[in-house]
Amino acid sequence: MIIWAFFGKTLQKKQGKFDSKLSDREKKALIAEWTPVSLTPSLSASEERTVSSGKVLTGYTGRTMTTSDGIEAINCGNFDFLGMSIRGEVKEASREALEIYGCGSCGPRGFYGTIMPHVTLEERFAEFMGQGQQSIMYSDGASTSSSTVAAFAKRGDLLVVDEGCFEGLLTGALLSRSNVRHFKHNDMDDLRRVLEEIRGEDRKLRRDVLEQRRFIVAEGIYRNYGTNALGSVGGVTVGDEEVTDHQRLSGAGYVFSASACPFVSEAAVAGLGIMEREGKSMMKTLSNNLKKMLKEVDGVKGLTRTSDDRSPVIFLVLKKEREYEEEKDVLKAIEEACMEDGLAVVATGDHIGKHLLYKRVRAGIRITVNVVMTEKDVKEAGRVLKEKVRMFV
Amino acid sequence: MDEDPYADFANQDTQPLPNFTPGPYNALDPATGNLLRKSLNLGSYNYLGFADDWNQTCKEDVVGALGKWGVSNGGCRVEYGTTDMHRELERLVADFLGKEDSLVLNMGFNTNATTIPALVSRGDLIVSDTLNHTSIVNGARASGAAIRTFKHNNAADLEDVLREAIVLGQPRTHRPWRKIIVMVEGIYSMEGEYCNLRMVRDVCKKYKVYLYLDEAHSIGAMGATGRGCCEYAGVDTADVDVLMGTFTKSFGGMGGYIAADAKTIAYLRTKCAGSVFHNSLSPIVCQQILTSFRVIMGLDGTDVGARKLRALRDNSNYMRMRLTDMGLHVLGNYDSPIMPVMLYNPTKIAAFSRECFKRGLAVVVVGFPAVPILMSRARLCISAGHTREDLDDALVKIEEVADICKIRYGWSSFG
Repeated sequence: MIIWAFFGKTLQKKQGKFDSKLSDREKKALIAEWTPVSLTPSLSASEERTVSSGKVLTGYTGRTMTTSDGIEAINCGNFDFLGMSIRGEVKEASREALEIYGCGSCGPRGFYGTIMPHVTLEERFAEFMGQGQQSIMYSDGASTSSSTVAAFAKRGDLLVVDEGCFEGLLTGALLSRSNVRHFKHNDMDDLRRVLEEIRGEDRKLRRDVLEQRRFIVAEGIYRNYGTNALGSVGGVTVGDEEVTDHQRLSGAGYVFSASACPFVSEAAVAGLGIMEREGKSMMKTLSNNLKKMLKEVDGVKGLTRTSDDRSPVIFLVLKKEREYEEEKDVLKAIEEACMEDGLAVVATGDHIGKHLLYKRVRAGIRITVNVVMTEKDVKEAGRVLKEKVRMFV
Repeated sequence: MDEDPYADFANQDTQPLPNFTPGPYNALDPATGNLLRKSLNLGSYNYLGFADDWNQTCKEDVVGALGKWGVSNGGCRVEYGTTDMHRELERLVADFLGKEDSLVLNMGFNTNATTIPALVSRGDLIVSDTLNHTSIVNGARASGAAIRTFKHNNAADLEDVLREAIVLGQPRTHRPWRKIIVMVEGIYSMEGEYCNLRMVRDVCKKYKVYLYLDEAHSIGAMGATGRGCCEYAGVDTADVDVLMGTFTKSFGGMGGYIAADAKTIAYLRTKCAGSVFHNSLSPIVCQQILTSFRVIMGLDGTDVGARKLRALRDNSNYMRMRLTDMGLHVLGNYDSPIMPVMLYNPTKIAAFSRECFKRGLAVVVVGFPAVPILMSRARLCISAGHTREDLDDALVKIEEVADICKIRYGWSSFG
């Protein structure tokens, strides 16, 4: 007991709060001396170029996009897989909703920001996804995932997260204050390794498996490796009633943020209608286009495909690995040259590879396939890509 | 058997009001087109009333934009999600606020939640007002920077916090902080108070720390020409390093902006998750904001904007004066369109809301956890779209409800 008291006291002393016995003059001097760094660091030359050469669109047809330089490029750059946003029905539905409800919703869902189209969309989406499900919508896709993860996982829980997850999920994991473990992207062996490690720890700590809530976080299609298929903006999560009701009170993006514009939801409802009617044929077209595109892309010398055969988001990296900085500059140059020749693809260098949450993502070229592209477009895309890769690699 | 007087309203707190539109009245049942129930809207952030006269002020442009653009073009800002309309809007916002450049994102909440992690990181310190909005809190937590808070709207406490932070440096190592950024809001949405911006600015200048001002509620609603809290407080926008705001409220749109010097905005364009990963703002909504901006700035050649601003201020001050006269405890300052009416007792929350709703008033009531449990309140949001008759009518009804709920705390501690 005495020993304990003794040690306790010395320990307390050691850990005691730093007591700055500084005179007022010393404090003043310290304050006067302190100079902060600038608010933001300077951009590197290539980042500067990303900003200044940023493409500004002046027209968009789903199949092509026109930039302010007057170039009309084949669209392999965005996620409008089904070409929904330019469909007449979607526009018509938006126009009608605008005439009824005006534009903004002027408040969060709980504060009279819930308007009929929001309810319709949630019901329709739940129907679309199958029986016994309910859905909840957010006004931005990214906050859907970050809010959802943080609404369910709490301090003390354990999340096992795929390293390649989209930023929204990673932010959600961070905000939840849970313990987070990562496993290598899409690597089931690594996932098993992590899970076994956890089980080992359980045994060591004699911790019951049920003591801690555990989640595995993964994505349908990995954006950075390869969903906005409805031609609208926003996001939806689906689950049973308990899951959705919980979010209505705990999803930060739902509770504290203004709801989506009603016409946006109405557009998504129209998009769902089209998908129900033409979904099968659309998927067929998409997979046909994908096959053709893969044929073109796999013939490009100097690049390797890392994405799955079934993913409409095609991801290509350099065959011969180089330094990160060099790789991303080469790919950026390819992207720019493609654009000048009328092909819009995305080089995922500066803006994604170096983002705060990503540490080990290789730079690559991302090509998305959609249903509105023609056979000629695919051929042309292949030709341009081959030519430009030859120029720079 | 007695009929339960609240039968109709039993589920009101949990059920959405599907027939509600953001105009001054909720009107039509979209399925049948019948008038369902008409309530005066005292709940929406429709400050300048663009939801009321939308057909006259904005409809033509916005529906016109649908001819050229889709609802979304499925890309983020740096990947083909930027249209010439986004750029035009960014230039307009920058000009309006007297900043070099601005960045426009899809969601107000995410503007804070994604920009703050891009601006600060480990080794930096965020000094945040205790009553800042969740989006700021989320952004600050996600950033990895250290976070301290200062007493709400208290510049003297801010100074103490800053002095101690600079003298002691980082925890454990006592290295000096790389940079310190102070975060405040223009109008605090649950308090109806505006920021003590002059004093905060002075303190920030004195200690060389950066200032981040969230004008989600004040932009368009405060100041003689709607330029927000800076204009109202007479602070040069050059003294505020980062200005943030949303388009949901005064502009009847959606999304948010960050305005700052060109270097900061260029950095955010390549680094902030809202610009790099998230979908860009719908071009149609861009058009809505552009149009309402032009009206506010008088670029449409009419005085509609100026009249709206005047009406908002007159309505707010009239309502605040009458409510205070009625013996209610009303928080916040004159000229602010948000007026929280104190209920204190949490059991009065449902009663107040239902009695108001029964009389055709749609008000927002706020309880724990948004505010401390014994500080429950009702919140009225005034709009330029309200007429004097609307407000007088509402005041009569509120007076009735105030008697029923016994909330005239200004006259007696027992209400």
